[in-house]
Amino acid sequence: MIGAGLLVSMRDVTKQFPGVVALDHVNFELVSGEIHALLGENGAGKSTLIKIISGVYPPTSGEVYIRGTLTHSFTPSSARGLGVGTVYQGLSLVPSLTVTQNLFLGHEQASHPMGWLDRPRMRVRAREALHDIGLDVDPDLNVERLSISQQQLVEIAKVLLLGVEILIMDEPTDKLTAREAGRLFALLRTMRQAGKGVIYITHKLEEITQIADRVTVLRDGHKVATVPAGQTSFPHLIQMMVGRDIREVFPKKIVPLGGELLGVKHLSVPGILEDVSLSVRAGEIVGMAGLVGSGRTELAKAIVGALPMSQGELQLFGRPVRISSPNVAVRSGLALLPEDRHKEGLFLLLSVRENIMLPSLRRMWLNFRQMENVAKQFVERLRIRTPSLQTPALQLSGGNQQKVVLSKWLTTRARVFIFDEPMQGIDVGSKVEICRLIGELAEAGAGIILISSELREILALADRVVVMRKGRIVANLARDQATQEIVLGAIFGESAA
Amino acid sequence: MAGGESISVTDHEVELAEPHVRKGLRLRWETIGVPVAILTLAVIFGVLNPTFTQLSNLANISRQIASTGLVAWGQTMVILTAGIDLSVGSVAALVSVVSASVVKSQGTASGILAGIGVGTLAGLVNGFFIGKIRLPPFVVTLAMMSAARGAAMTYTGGVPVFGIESQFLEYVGQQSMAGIPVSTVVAIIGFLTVFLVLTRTRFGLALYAIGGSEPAALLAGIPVTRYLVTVYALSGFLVGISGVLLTGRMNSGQPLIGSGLELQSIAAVCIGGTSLFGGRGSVVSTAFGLILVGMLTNGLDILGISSFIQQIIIGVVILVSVLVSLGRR
Repeated sequence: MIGAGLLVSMRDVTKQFPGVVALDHVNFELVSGEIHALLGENGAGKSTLIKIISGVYPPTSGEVYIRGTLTHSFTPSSARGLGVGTVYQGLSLVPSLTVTQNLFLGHEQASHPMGWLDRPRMRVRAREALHDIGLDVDPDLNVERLSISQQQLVEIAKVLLLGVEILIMDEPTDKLTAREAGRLFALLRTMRQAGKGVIYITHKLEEITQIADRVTVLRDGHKVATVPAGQTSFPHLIQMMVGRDIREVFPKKIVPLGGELLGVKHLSVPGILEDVSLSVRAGEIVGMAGLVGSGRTELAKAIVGALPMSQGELQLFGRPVRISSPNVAVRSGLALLPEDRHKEGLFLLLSVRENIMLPSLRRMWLNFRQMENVAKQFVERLRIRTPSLQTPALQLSGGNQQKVVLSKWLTTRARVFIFDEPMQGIDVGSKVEICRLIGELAEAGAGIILISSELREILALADRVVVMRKGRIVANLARDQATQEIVLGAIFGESAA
Repeated sequence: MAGGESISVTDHEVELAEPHVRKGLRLRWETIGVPVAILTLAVIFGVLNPTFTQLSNLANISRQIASTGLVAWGQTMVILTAGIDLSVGSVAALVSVVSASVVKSQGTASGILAGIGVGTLAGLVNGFFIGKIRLPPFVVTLAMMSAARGAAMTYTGGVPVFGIESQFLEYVGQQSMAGIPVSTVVAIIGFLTVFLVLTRTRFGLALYAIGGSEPAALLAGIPVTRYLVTVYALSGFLVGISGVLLTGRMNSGQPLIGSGLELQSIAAVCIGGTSLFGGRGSVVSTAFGLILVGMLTNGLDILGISSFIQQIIIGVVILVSVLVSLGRR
């Protein structure tokens, strides 16, 4: 009754959580030799769908067939037994163990009758697995010494090592550079040729046309449609996803520029940044491109005093300043929205209200009514979707969390904003709103540095594009000079400007 | 600090018209478990032995837990930052012998000040190494635990300091006002202060933030170092008061007191439901934890159950309460 090529078949699947219907009578199929993209805003039900297939939890009703078998027991190990391997968002590696130890965690190779670990064999297999995915690191290195993108690749290698038939990935390229993503896609294509199936969650529409065969769009727990990836367009996908027409994902309004707000002069941090100079004017959005590890994040941290600079000076609003700590930065009108939202941007256990108000509290005693009112204004203005102001930030979706982080800095009345990967891992609807907010800030006379790995975002929003490579600024291009080719060339050092 | 003037960062002027978001009264087992256990125990002990519920006995319980309480309030603040203070017991002993000997030579007021000063100083040293030098709290306070005990023993040659003869200390340590032991009153004042600090001040909120995510706290402009130093100094300050109360209660400076105080205070925090990983908890729950242990010890004493068995029971209570409080996550 189930076609031979069907790897996954979900029929009329509903999943209810207390108070929410996460999936509402959804049908979904994955055939062998297919890369099937799953698209939808945060909260649309994508994660719930893959978690049912991965056996994290059972559906409330409906049937799930995996490789022809009707599934009764929904546990991660039974799903794994059926050949389902899942790479979740967020890293699940143990930082203090080596790459090899992480790859084999939980299924160590023990050939010896005494149960001793077969280290040489694991190391060899680890090396092979890393080679397959195009990651050139020493398998004996501790994972904490790898960059985030390398860790992400280790995470993927770990799942592939299990020999999966059905590979599920939740935004795997989120933390990868373009080159690494390219390698991952090559690997996925090999899997496709071998008749395996891939379910691929992404927020990057370009990737869908690049590698997916079919796309299923979910919205509010319903399936909107499954369409062949070749027969669709960005506007169509976006429209299906958000249920409304978005003419442009990243609208840009050109505003007249004012005087210099932030001037960075000859800033150096030994081994990390070398003689970096930069200027941001009022109303200006400076896009900062570069590979992960090129010094973008470090420059941002050095500017706000979170990383000590050995040389160089800063000028803020035309005066020389010394930013010795983030505390001083906050008081001086500088704001950094850090890359790692969960670790550095938010207090997950604290409420929305407290998250928004913390940096702007100046008096010793808290005035709850005032905090409540200010927070409420921002929740309304930024359209933050939260059950209440007392809800812990932990419970919000990625896009809404990002808006909380942004509100937090708006309350401090900062005038220079550094956004480090503000759109990472958030849904398209929230992206549009964050873009709008960044545009509004610029219009109101703020100076903005926008760090992003998504060239499209930078090219669309920036008045000027600065490219970093190996701790230096290698290109500084006006909006009309900054084409995709030139910027990419500078990023990879093929033709530095 | 230059440049701070160029943009004024003021509090927001907002109209105060909109009503508050209504807080639902959520009675969950994790929140009401300990109070319910306290009431249940009170009823059981009261039925088994009516002397338990007599006012004089209740006053006695409150006196017994007062000095531990002061320490536990400080411990709560420390643990909220994802830290720990193992040195409280030893520092209390140092406080006791210093205050006793200074009372003898310089008078009551100087003695009390010296005691509290020594406690605060020890806390400052802890805070310096933890906040400024970035050593792990466990290690730093473990070192202080050993050093302070050694200092107390060295200072007195290992023998108690007798002959204090301070009416005030005796009053604070042993007497009652309006039926309530003075030490209990001191502990309640300490509790209210810490409660207000944690729930109503920027500093208190920052402690939760630091415990929840220190990198985020740093980037949010919270003076993390200064606050960490402060929180350990506060813990030392409260230990100082507690040490003075103990001195008054025993009418002597005792270099051996306070051993086990670190465990009792941490147990009260845990039983109350504050997370040892920081960022989550309250001093109110610590108070409940403290009362539960105090009542249990006293009730079992009255029933003639040996202190050895009591320790086993308290171990079980710690485990059960942590299991229950895990339910909220």
